[in-house]
Amino acid sequence: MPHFRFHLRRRGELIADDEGAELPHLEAAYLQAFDSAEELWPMLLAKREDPIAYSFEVVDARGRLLFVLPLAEVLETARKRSPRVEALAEGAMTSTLLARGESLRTSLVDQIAIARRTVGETRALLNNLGKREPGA
Amino acid sequence: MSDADRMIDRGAAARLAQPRTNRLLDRLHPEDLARLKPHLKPMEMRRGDVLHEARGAIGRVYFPLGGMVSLIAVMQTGEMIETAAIGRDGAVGAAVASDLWRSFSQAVVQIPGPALQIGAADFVHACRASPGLTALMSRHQAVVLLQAQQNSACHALHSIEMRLARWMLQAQDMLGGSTIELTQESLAQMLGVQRTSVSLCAHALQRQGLIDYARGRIAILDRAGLEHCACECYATIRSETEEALAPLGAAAM
Repeated sequence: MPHFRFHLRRRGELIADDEGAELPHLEAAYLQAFDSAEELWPMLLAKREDPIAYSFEVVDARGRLLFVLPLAEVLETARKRSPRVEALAEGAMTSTLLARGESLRTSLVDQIAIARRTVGETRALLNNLGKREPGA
Repeated sequence: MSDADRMIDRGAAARLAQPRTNRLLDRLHPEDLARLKPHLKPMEMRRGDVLHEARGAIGRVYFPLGGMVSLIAVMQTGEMIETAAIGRDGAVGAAVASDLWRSFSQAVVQIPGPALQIGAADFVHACRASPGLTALMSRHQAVVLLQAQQNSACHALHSIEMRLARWMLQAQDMLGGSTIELTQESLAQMLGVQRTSVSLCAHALQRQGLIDYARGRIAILDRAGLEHCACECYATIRSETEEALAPLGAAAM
């Protein structure tokens, strides 16, 4: 399962998530960030801190930013969404899906290159073997 | 060497120095201990081992000599929360002494350690022959019940940061030493909160110089400061546990 880290940003400060979590896919990571954001609201308010100053920056195992979830986004579920917000949310989901597709494609290309290299090396080794042992 | 490293070193030394005993067994009259001894088998509790399933039969009773076992309430959604924690000052499954043969909660090893195990039937047989043993186990059950009661109040009334501080103090009392090896994920499950909340609260405690928490290892740097951050539940559970472990009959005197 892919590994996700949920860094928490408060203006200039980044509270790094050094443990992270294994989750089946990006959507699960988004839902987890959302559930976490919901829980942080009362926690921060009780400490007289402004939740709107916070956002989650979710990155993959290589540290690449997958999406940002401002804590303010939780409020959207309590409001009737305007068509603009709806379109933005849809756009965000589409772009995360596209990003996921792109990262899958990149890793596939990497894997093919590695496989090609291995096949090439094996061939070269077999050739050398043939030259050294002509009687075999 | 950083301060945290030094603390961890001291923690390791203290862990080695800690006696591998169970405080309930230590409290037993030599005659009662002799009744149990032939049946007690040493074992290692590994992280994640389920000793009893929720609503499952209690086949064995465990006396931890180290480590920590959580009694966990598991919801149908898979969400869970710790209702009590048992270490070398208690026993897991001692309810059989009161003729309760099913475990209400799931007993899971959170922190590995050695233990002594005994078949539930042998244990009950020994209890029936000794009012002293039965009385001590009833006292221990009362402590488990107290923990569950205190926890339900604590979960409803106290902040996650206070509860986290309390949990760390309790774990340190149970384990000895100044470091606790536990992931944020496990801590979050025990506290019944999101892992990111544990991360944020731990960050706040760390910024105050009370703990150091990195890569699944919690080092307690300032115990007095941490006690100041914890809720009253820490002191309540601690004093009640100590009272229950006092020599039998002492409370009545």
